[in-house]
Amino acid sequence: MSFISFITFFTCSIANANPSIELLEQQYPQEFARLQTLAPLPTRAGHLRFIGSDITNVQWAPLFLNRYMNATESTEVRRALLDLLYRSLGEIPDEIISSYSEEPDTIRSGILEMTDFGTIDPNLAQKDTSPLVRATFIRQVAKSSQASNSFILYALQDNDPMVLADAARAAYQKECSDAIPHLASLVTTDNHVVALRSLYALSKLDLSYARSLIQKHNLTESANKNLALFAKGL
Amino acid sequence: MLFSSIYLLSCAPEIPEEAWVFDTIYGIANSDDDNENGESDWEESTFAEENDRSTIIIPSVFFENKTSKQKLRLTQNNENFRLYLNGTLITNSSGDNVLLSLEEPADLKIEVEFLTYNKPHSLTLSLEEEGEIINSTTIEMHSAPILIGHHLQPAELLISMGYRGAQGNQDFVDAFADVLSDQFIEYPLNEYNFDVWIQDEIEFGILQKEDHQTSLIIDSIRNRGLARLSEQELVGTDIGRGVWGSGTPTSQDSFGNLEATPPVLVDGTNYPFGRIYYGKFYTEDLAQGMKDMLDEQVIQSPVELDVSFLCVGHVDEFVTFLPDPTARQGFRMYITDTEKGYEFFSSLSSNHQLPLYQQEYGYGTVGDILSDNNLRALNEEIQATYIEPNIERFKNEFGITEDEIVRVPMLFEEPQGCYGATATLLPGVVNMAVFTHEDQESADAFIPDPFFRSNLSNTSDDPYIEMFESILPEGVTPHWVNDWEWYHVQLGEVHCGSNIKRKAVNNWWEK
Repeated sequence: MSFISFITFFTCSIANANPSIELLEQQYPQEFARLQTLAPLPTRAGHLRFIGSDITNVQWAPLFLNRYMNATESTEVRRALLDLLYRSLGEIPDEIISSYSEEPDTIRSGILEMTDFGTIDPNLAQKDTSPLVRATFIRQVAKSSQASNSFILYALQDNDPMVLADAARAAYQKECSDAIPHLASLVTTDNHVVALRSLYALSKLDLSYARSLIQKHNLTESANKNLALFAKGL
Repeated sequence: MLFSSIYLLSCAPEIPEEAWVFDTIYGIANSDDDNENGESDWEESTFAEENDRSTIIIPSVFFENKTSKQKLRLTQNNENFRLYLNGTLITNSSGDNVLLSLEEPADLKIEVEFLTYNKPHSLTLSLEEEGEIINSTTIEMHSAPILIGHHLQPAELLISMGYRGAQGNQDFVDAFADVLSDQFIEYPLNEYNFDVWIQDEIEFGILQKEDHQTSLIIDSIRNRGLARLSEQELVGTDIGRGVWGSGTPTSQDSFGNLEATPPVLVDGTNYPFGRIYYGKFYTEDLAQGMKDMLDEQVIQSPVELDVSFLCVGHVDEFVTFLPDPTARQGFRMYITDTEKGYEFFSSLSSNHQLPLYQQEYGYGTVGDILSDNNLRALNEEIQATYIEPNIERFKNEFGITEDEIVRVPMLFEEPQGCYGATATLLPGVVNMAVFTHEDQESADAFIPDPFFRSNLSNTSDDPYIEMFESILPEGVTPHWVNDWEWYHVQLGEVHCGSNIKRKAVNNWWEK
């Protein structure tokens, strides 16, 4: 079985109403046929991603955008198409952004990951029902000079460990000293990643306070081995 | 009572006492398929090619010296092994027994087939007369543990998946073929749903007895495209297969997340086959059945490390071991270090061009990397909260000392789709395939090409390669493998796309 025949099970019907797509098909019929059904491959982590440096050529973006907008592709493939479009164009097309709210959580998270803070309504993103999306939003906040630290304080009251862990990281990256009381309450939480990130964040924001908490909670003897070893090194 | 004792003394058999002392019998589970008929040998009757049974010799003196009224009986004391005489099954379960006799006195050879891994078993050999036991002995036996290979053990075979069509990975597989020739086997990638991650699907375990070794493929519950590989391509003569664990697999059930150190001495305890280590990501770790099996082997006493910073979440992403006869224990541990990464990149010109990094990550120069403050903060955090604590754990729980550790300059980044977890920014050079030679002191190392240069075809003009070659042990020959497109940006490296069958050189029963 060839690579091309293997991938044909990911067939999609391309509505060639778009003139730029029709032109591509006329100019490069063989490559067009290949890319029309090209399947992403699983990364080692399991999510799908398109491989091949040739396919990130911007000229193919209309074809991949068409595939993305076509509802017959699976969410996993559409998530990979989103990533491919971002790699090709360096940004996410407006059509995709405008359909954000109607998309499943992995796609919403992907759109947030590939756009700057404010492109998607922050109030919508921070209250998303999916922790995947809320966590991605907080990472977006961490990278933005415009985003208010109030989003971090809000996220530090989340009940999902992934959101809490990313909020702890955002807190020190954005030098959010208002987060210190929240972080202090998280260093003894059961989730070992949240506790470790919170102690690290505290060490960056207020080292002497972090040290006092280590002593108070005897964190050097914690069953969380990385936390205990990190605490010993502080 | 007095009368019977006198009777026993006066009529005692003339089988010398020393004959009643038997050495412990060591053997291996007969899980391979020596006649290559698709069935594990322990499910079959005797056939000509069978070579995994152990032998018990009942010396001729037992038959020469016993009287005609006396009977020699062999009794199986527990389950999960079988005895054969001249290829015929004679006992199968606990309590089964058989009378031994020979027409002409000679040593009697009995074969033992084990169905277990690292379990004690025993037999009782007794001499009886008129229903009364005159003398008896217990013959102790032990089935071999499943050993996980380490990088000081000689490699016999490297396997990988290849696709040689348009845009295929021929550069990758050719790198192995060119160096290893008939010690390399390539399987067709297109027949396995383009699943390149052969490291993750199987682990070559080793079963060892005095005169023979077999491989036991531990087949992961991961079950992606390569799920059928072991049964279709690998199981056969001297290669068996087993599956441990169940339930919904996580990335931690892949065997890039299952490694073993070379032999170590930890607080006076000798681990002649090293210690196993595997990673836990948040609350996800190896399936319980797999962890239980590894614990039951005892000899490599597993340690769980925290890999929650890694998107894939496998231990091979940040640490490996290389043979080095100049080191205290004959090896050095190579571990990624982000502080060293910044130190190294700062030593380069900030204008050093990185076309491949521009295309994939948006970093066109070394200066672009160095000026990304979020990236720096992330890497400082990873160093403090994961790399350094894990180094401490390698020191505390594996007995590794600072002079045995080589810190490898590296940075991590947050790939798309990883929800904030990380992977190496440069191809992870520690995530290499180590093909150790027979001398156990040298190796061919297949290392991901970092492409940290402007002229992509010229590895001799790459400062990262120059740096890394300068910190490799003298006996390790580097082979730089192009794994960028099929592996690195897909969150794996050379090690992940290959698998190595090794052989044990120490004897586990002499621990």
